[in-house]
Amino acid sequence: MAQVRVHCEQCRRPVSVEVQDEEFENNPTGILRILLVHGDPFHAIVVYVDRQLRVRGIEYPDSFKIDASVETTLVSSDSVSSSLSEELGESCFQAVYAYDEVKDRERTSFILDKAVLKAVCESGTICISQIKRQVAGVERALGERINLQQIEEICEKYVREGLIRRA
Amino acid sequence: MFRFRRKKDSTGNYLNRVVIGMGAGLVKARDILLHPDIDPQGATDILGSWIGQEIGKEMLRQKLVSPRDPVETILDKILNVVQIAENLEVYFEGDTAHIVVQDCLICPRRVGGYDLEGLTACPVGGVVRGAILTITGKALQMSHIDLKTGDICKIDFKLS
Repeated sequence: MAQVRVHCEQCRRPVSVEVQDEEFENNPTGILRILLVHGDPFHAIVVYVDRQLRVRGIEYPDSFKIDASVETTLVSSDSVSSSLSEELGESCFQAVYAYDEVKDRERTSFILDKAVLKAVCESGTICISQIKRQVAGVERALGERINLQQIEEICEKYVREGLIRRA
Repeated sequence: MFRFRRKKDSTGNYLNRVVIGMGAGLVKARDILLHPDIDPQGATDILGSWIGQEIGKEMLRQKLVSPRDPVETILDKILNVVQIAENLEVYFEGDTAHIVVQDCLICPRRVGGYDLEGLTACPVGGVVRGAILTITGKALQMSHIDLKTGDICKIDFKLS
């Protein structure tokens, strides 16, 4: 079994798909067509993968419908987030405290750091690209481009201080 | 009839730059500055950053610094230009610059005599960060901030 990672242009995130060796056994073309349903809200992409596990192409269906009854199971955020960073291919962070509990302690910290901390504390579990979107207003206000590395460094600082943790 | 003629003094340019930066910041960040979530320190960080960017431009124009200078040298020169405090200590430890400000000359409470109602409005972090961003193109992370209005304030910058 191997994992193939592709970038979904629809949700603008990296997504992983598992490919089993046996799936190629009865495939005369040597190209697997994998329907990958993912994201929130759900959407689907078709990924074409060859025997060398190279992605040959990605298709984006115009519409995605499920004609079946769906059974929903609720799981704790901890059990999901234990592997969320790995699944999404980017760093994710998880709140340890509510923002109201830490905002007085961080009263004098720099506005960007405060905005990042607020985004994590108010989101439960959040990835750095989502944090970047949430702090876009501060980015514009400061007149500078904030990259994902800067956000990750700020998050790392707060991880070291025990205010948030890696998901 | 009186006529006043003034010779251009380059040191005066910094006041102009401060006003330009503040004006640009007010326009560019007007929505967020008025947002209820933004406290006075946050608003000062934003305006300080714009002011710092203008100060950085002036320092480059006067060739006081070059983008190729080490960050430590640039930081030292910024703090000389801005004249933040009577007693300013900068020391470097690994990749961190520690700035200790005593007898701050731009403290709204100590110098201005304003009651800040327990809040802070320190522009040092924003000004230094904005200036270094303009000069080097790199945004520094402030790894630790401890502001005590009218007392000793400490700001740590991670240089790498």
